[in-house]
Amino acid sequence: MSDDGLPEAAETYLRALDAELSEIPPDPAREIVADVRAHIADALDGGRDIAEILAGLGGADAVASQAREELGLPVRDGAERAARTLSVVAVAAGVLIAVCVSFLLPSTVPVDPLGADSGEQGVVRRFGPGIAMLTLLPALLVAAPLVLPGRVRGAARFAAATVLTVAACAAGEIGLYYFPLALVAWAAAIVPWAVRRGAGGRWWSYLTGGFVALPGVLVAVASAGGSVGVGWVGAALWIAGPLAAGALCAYGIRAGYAATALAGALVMILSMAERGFLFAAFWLFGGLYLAIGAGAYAASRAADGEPAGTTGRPARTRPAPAPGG
Amino acid sequence: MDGARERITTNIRKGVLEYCVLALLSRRDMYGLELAEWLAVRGLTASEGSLYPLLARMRQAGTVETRWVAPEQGHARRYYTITDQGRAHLRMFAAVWREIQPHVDELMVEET
Repeated sequence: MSDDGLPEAAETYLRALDAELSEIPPDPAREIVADVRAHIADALDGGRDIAEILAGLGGADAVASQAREELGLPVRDGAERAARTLSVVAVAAGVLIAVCVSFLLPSTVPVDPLGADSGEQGVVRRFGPGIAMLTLLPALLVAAPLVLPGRVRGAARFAAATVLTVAACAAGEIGLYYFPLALVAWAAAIVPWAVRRGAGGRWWSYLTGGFVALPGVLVAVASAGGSVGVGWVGAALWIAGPLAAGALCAYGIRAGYAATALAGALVMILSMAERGFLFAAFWLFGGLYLAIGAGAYAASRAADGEPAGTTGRPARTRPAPAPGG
Repeated sequence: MDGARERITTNIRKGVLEYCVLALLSRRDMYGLELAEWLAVRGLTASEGSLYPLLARMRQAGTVETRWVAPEQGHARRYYTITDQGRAHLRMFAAVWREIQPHVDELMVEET
C-alpha cells in the first residue's frame, strides 16, 4: 500500500500523522494511517488537488488529538507537560544540591565531631545520614506535585516555590545553595499557569533574550572600561557566550533556551567545584540561567504541543458556556 | 460569538456523527473517502481527517467491520460494513432521537 506513488506533500503529511499517533496503540494507529493514505489516493484519482485534500483532512496533530480522544487516552495537555518537565528539572537540581550540601560542604552540617567522644561516635554516625536526608527535603517538596492529584497540582507548585523561597532566605548560608532550586520551582509554578492563559509571544522572547545577554553586556562594559581584565578565553566564555545565547533566545529559537539552561547548570557545577570569591554570584546566576532556560524551553514546547484547530478540546475540560455572550 | 457557535456545532456533531456513519453504512458498504465526502459536504464533520479516528474506535467497539477490496485497476480500498451490533446501536439512537427531537424543535420555533 505504500507504493502508490503519492506526492511528497502527502508522504510528509502521513509521516507527521504517524509520528503524532505514537502514543496510541499500534493497531488503530496503523488503521488510521492506512485509511488516510487510501483517502488521499482516492481523492487524487477523483481529480482533487493535493493541497485541497490535505486542507480538507485537517492538521495531522488535530487528527491525532481526535484519535486520543476517541480511544479514551488522556488528551495531551501542553501546560501540564511543561509543568512535569520543570518539576523533573527541579527534582534533579534539588538532589544535586542536596549531594553538594551533604558531602562537599561538611562544615555546613551542624554536627560537631570534636564534641563527640568515642561512645557517641555511633550517634554521630546515625545523625550523619539523617541530616543528609533532611537536605533532600526541598527535592521532595518540588517532587510532590508529580504525584498529587491534578486539581491541587497548580497550587502545590506555587506553595512549594513560596516555601522554598522563604526557607532559602531564612536559612542563611545553606539557604544560598537552595536559591537556584527556588527559582526553578517558581518556573515550574509560573510557566504552566502562563501557558494556560495563553501568555507568550515575541515580547517574552525579547525579554528573555535581553536578560540572558545581560551578564555578557556587563562583562563587556567592565572589561572595556578596564576595571576587569579578561583574556581571550574569558571574553569568549563570559561575553560571547551570554550574547549568543541571548540572541538565540530573543529570536525564540528553542536550542537557545536549552543551551541557556545547560550553561546555567554547568556554571553552577563549576562554581561548586572551584569555589572562588565570586562563588555566590556565579552560583546564583547559574541558577537563574537554569530556571529561565528550562522555563522558556518547556513553555515553547507546550506552545507547539497545543493541538491546533481542535475545537472539541475545551468542551471536554469545561462545559460549553451559555450561548449569547 | 463565533467561538460559541463553533462550540455548539462541535458538541452536537460529537453526539450524532457516529450514528450518521452507521445510518449511511446501513444503506450500503462504503469506503473512507465516500463517507468523508458525504459527511463533510453536509457539515456533519469538521474535517475529513477526524472521521478516521472515529472509524477506528467503531471498529474496536464492533459496530463496523472492514474488508480490503482490490479493484482491477487502481489501488485497494477499505470498505466499511455495519455489523448486527451496529444496527442495534443505530435503532437505539433512532428511538432516542425521535423522542428528543420534537421537544427541542418545539422549543426552538420561537428562536428563529
